[in-house]
Amino acid sequence: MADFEVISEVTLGSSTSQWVIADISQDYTHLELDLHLRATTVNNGTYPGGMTFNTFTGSNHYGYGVVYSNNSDNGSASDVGPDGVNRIQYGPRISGDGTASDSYAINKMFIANYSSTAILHKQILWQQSAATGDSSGGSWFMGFGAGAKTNCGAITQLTIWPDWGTSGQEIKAGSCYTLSGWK
Amino acid sequence: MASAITKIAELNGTNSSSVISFTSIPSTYKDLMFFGSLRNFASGTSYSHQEVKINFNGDTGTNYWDAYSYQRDNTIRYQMYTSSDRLRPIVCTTSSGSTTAYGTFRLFCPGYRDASLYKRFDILGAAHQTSNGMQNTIQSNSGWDQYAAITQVDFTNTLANTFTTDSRISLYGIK
Repeated sequence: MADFEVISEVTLGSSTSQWVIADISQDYTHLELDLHLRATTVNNGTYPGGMTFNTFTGSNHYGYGVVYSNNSDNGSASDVGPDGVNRIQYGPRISGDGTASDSYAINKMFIANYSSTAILHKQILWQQSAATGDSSGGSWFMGFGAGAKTNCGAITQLTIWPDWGTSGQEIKAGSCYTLSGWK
Repeated sequence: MASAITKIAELNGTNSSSVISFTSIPSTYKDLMFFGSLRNFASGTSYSHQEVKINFNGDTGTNYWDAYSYQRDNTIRYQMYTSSDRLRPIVCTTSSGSTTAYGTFRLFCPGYRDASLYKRFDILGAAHQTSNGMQNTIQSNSGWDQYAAITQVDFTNTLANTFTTDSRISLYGIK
């Protein structure tokens, strides 16, 4: 086994309200997740995605912290936790579907020691950017952040979804991810 | 990401030392990547942070600097340290029990063996802190203004508290 391997490369065939990355191999020490996401929302904005580990969806499981700027904000931050919310808010960024250019938000995420059963506190770190504009203008977003869950076993599943409070939104077909393992 | 990646070493804390040290790092790669989860033991379940300083090749001269953006208390902040005796962006968490928390980081060092370059680092990190959320969610560009190839990296708790045995740092070489 190489010390760095692509575990899976997936392009979403049909739009979905919730994208589950299941049965994650436990053969590695750290995970790297590259996500390119677009929503079905007909809007030039960019939007936050939610994320959970395994099947932990109850309240008071997660915390997060984010730093970002966008086309209307020179710089802001937000944080909650530990154990303050039922998901990692402001996790993966998602581009809207309103722009003429078929652009996707870019998320590069890392989970150190994801397979450890001794390190029960799992954290995900990320860098992200998105721009949905064209020559007439639009939106952009860039930021970095972290999410965490205490008392978590090895991570075998990640779930992501559009998370901005408007029902009916989906991750659009054509969105894709590459999941890689660091041995 | 480049495909030729080799795991050079993985070290745990010992519960008796405040230093995790990578020594004799081979010069056979182009870049280095570290991933880590760190804590030091304390009774109780509250979390607090302690700085983990980073030094290269045993150098404790004022050859280091950090420029970083981070968040604390829902507020964006920035910090720059110059003429410092270490890199400062990483923290470990002081905690125990089932709600144990860790300071987590990813550190990328391009050109670590290039004797014509000062060394630069891209660092991401974060840690929980009781009542205050994900403190020290941080992105830093840091530097060690020396030309020497990096052969040793020391991660040291600045308060000399010991790293727990479940603390772990992995080092990879990238060609």
